[in-house]
Amino acid sequence: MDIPPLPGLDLADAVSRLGLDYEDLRDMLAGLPASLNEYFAAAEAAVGAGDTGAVRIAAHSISGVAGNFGIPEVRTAARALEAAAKENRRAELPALLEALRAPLAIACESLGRLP
Amino acid sequence: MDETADILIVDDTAANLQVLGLMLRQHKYKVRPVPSGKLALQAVAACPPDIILLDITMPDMNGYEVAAKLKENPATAEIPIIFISALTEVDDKVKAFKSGGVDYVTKPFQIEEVLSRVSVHLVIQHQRRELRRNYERIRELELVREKLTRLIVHDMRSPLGAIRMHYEILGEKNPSMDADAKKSLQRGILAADTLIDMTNSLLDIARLREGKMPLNIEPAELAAIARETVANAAVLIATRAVTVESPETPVSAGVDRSLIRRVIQNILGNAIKFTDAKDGRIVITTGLAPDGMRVITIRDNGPGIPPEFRTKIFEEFWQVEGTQVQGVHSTGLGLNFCKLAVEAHGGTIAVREAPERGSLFEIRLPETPVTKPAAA
Repeated sequence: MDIPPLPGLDLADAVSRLGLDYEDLRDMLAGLPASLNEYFAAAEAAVGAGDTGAVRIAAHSISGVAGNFGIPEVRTAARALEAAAKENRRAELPALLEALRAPLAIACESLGRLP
Repeated sequence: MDETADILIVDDTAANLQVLGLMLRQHKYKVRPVPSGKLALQAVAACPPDIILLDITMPDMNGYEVAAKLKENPATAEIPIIFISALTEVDDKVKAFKSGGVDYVTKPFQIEEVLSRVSVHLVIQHQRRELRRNYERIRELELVREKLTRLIVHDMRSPLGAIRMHYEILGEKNPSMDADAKKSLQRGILAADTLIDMTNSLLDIARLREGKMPLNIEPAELAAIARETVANAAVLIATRAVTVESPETPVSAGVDRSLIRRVIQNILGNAIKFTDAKDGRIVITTGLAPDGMRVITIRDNGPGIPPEFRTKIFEEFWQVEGTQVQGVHSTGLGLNFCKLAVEAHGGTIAVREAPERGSLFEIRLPETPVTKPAAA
């Protein structure tokens, strides 16, 4: 099956990098929105609570998954949030969280339409 | 190489765990995925894997803590750990290596990199196990060899004693034998004595090394022991025409008199044998070091021992090449015996260059012996 070009996803990169077929990845990709949204919710709660440690862990999870599965914009935004949490730049956290929301929504929408 | 290797992968993110597991399974590895540090420790305890791929950033127990726990336990300390993480800073990588990791793979995963690193460390692990097995096998064989040698040496003592005794009887029964025959007989007795000395030394060294030589510790005066030893060596001293100065300073210590006498006798015997017979001078001193150790020194003005050999001479069967003196027999066991006997008292023995020329042996003994555990 051809790898479909979908907004926010670079599945061709994921398939070649991981050495797996698209068919092998599809079920895993389909399950990603649930976990990504769960991590985002945890990050959102942690930003609200001012818990930089928890923000860092949640952002790290999003960045790790996004990196592995070819979701580049989400990875970049999550890494920025993780770095700010690590360096305790509390004031920047709400804006960086918002900067992550849009690419995450686009990627999740694409993941929901996988052929 | 070992494609059925058992790999434990640890990551709190289910999707990462799933994809890494699939990548490795497709290359015929047996994969056990676990989502937390605590579960990883349980999995390792239940069945140690060949290698662990360990995420760093995890809630509750991070990868560094998991590695530290595994390294604490001798049963799991040698399992290779490859850290897998999206942390890319040098500090993170250094910390991973310091906590016991053998390698580091950064996310996002690249299949070729993951497989290459896993494969390299499995090969190293395989070779390490092979090396250990070979070492244990060699050690077993070495123990068998040592036992056999000791048995043979032990059984040689009686016939050697008998040979010596029969030579003596032969001499006594034939008082009219000519000078050449008497000389041959005397040489035979001397050779038997040398072999008897060797067998005794070999057995004593084995006992000392294993901590099985019972020490008869009693209060003693070291200068007096040294003087007795010099007196016993009077015949040998006379043959070489060297002068020997005995110590005067009384120094008390708890020692096994017989062992310490033999230590002094060995070093003194070497000094007599290897010192020039014309102007040879040997000086024995006793004293108390500032740290409370009892010190015996034996100094000669012989050819000395080259610096590179000053540690090796205390090893079993070791002799400085080119130092064999005609008519002087050396087994290479004497100084090894001295080292083990002194160490059995909790002391030390060393040799250095004497102030002008020759060697200076220094024996340091505690006031009362410090028990030394038997060697493994």
